Amino acid sequence: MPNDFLTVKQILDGYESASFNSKEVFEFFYNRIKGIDADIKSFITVVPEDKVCVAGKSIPVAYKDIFTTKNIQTTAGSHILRGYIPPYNATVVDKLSDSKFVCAGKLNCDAFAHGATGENSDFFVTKNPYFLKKTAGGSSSGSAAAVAAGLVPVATATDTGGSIRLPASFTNTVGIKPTYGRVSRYGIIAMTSSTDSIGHITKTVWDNAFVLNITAGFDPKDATSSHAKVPDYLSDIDKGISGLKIGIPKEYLQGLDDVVEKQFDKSVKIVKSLGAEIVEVSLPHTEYAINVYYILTPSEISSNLARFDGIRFGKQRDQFGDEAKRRIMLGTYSLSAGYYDDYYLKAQKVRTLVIEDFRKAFDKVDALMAPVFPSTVPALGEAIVDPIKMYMMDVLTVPVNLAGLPALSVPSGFIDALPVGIQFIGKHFDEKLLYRIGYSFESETKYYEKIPNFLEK
Amino acid sequence: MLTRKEVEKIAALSKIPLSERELSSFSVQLPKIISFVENLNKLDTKNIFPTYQISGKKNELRKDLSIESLPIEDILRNAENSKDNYIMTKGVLDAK
Repeated sequence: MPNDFLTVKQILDGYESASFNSKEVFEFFYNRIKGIDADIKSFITVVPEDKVCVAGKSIPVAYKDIFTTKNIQTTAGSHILRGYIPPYNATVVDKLSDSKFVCAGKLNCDAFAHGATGENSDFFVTKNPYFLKKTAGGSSSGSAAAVAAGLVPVATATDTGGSIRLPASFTNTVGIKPTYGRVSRYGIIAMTSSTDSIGHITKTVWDNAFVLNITAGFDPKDATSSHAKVPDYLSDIDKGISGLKIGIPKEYLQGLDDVVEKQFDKSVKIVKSLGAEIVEVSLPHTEYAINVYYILTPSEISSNLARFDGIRFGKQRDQFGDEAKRRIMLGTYSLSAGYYDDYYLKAQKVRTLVIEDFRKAFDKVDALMAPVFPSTVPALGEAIVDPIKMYMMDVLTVPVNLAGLPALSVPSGFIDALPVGIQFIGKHFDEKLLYRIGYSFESETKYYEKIPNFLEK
Repeated sequence: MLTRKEVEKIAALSKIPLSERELSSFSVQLPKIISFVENLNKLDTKNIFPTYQISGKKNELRKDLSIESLPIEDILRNAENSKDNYIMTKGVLDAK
C-alpha cells in the first residue's frame, strides 16, 4: 500500500492508474487514525469504519467539529453541545459529499473556535505532531494536526482571526483563509459573523486549490456568500511568479523573534529568485487591528452565542468554558447602552482605516507576503495562562480578517525542527493568484516532504 | 473601570451563572482586556465611516416560497423537553 502522507493528488492519480482502490485508501487512513491519534488527540469523533460508505473513487475528509454534520455529533469543542446530533449538513459538507469526499470524523478545536493554541477545547488538548509537547495552533488544532500526521488528506477549518493560518504554520501544512463570502457559512457554528471565513488544511498547495474548487461559490442559504464567478483554481497554478510584484508590509516585521525574522528573509530570497519583484509597503494601522478585533469579536460572539439557551438543543449556559464566558460578557458590555459608541462603533471606524491601508498597498503590488506568527511554536501551557497573551498571538493574522481578504499559509521551513509558515495575502477574490504563488514557492522548497519525527519509525 | 458589581450585572444580562471563583478572576481579567482594546482611543476617527460589511453586499433577497422543512422528530431530538410536537420552555410571563 502507498507511502505515508498520501495527498489528494496521489489518491486521484492512484485511482486513475488503478494502483489501489477506495477500500485500500480508507483502510490505510483508518489504520493511521487507530495507530497514531491516541498520541495526537485530533479527533473528537471518529465515524466507525464499518459505517463509512465507501463507493467508487472516494477520498477521506474530516471536519472541524464546528461544521454541522447530519446525524454525526457536532460539539464545537464545547461541553454545552456534547451529544448534539444535527438534523442537517453544512453546505460545505454537502458539496464535498457530492464530490466523493467521505467523512471519517470530527476534529478537535478551541471551544467555539475561541483560541489560538487549541487549549481552549473543553474536551482535551491536541498535540503538535512535530513535537508532542508543543501546541498544534488554534483554533483549528485538530484539523492541522490530523493532516500533518497523515490521518486524513484534507481537513476543513474556519479562520475568523487566524484559526486556519496559525495551526497550518505550526504543523507544516497548507491553509487557505478564503475571501469573506467566497465559501458558504451555512451550517457552520457562528463566531464572528463579520469575519468568519470557511477554508481547509491540506499537505500541499495543489490539494488545497482542488478542494476550494469544490467549496467556493454562492449559496442561497448564506446571504453573505458572493455571486462572484469561481475560477478554476488549478488552471495556471504552475505558471510561475516571474514579474509579479509582491509587497512586504514593514509593520509585520516589527517585533519578530530573531530566528523568525531570519527564516522570513530566507523565504523572501526564494520568492525573489523565482522572479518576483519585492516591494516594501506600509500598513500603518496594523497595530490597532488586534484591538479592533477584540472588540468586534466578543461583541458578535455575545450575540451569536445567545442562541445556546438549552431549550432547542444543547445544555445549559453554565456549561460554557471560561473563554466563551469571557467573550460573551465582554461583548455584552461593549454593546450595552452608553458604551456602544466607545467600543463597537469606534472599532468599526478603525476597521475602515485598516481596510484603507490594504487598498493603498494593493495599488502598488499584486500580493503581500508576511510571517504568520512572530515567534516559534509555543509549548503547551505557555500561552493559555493569560488571555491577552493569547489574543496577541493573532497580531499578524487578524488584519486580513478585518479587511475580508484571502490569505494562504504555506510551510516556509523549520526552526529547531519546528515548522514555521508564511502567508501570502491577496486582493478580494484573488485566491487563484495566491495558489500560483504558493505552488511556485512550494515546488522550490518541498517542505511538505519532511514528516514528523515521531512517525519515522 | 469595570467593578466587581458591574461584572456581576453583565453576567446576569448574559445569562451566565458565575461561581465565586469565576467572579473573582473575571473581575480582574475583564478590566485588563478592556484597557487593552482602549488603545484605539489614540486614534482620531471623527470623520471616518464605520465598516459593518466588508464585501459591500446589500440585501440578498429570495423568492417567498414555501419549502419543505426538516422532519419534526429530527428537530425535537435535541430538545431537552418536548410534548405533543412542541418544545417546552419555562413560561415567559410567570417565569421564575
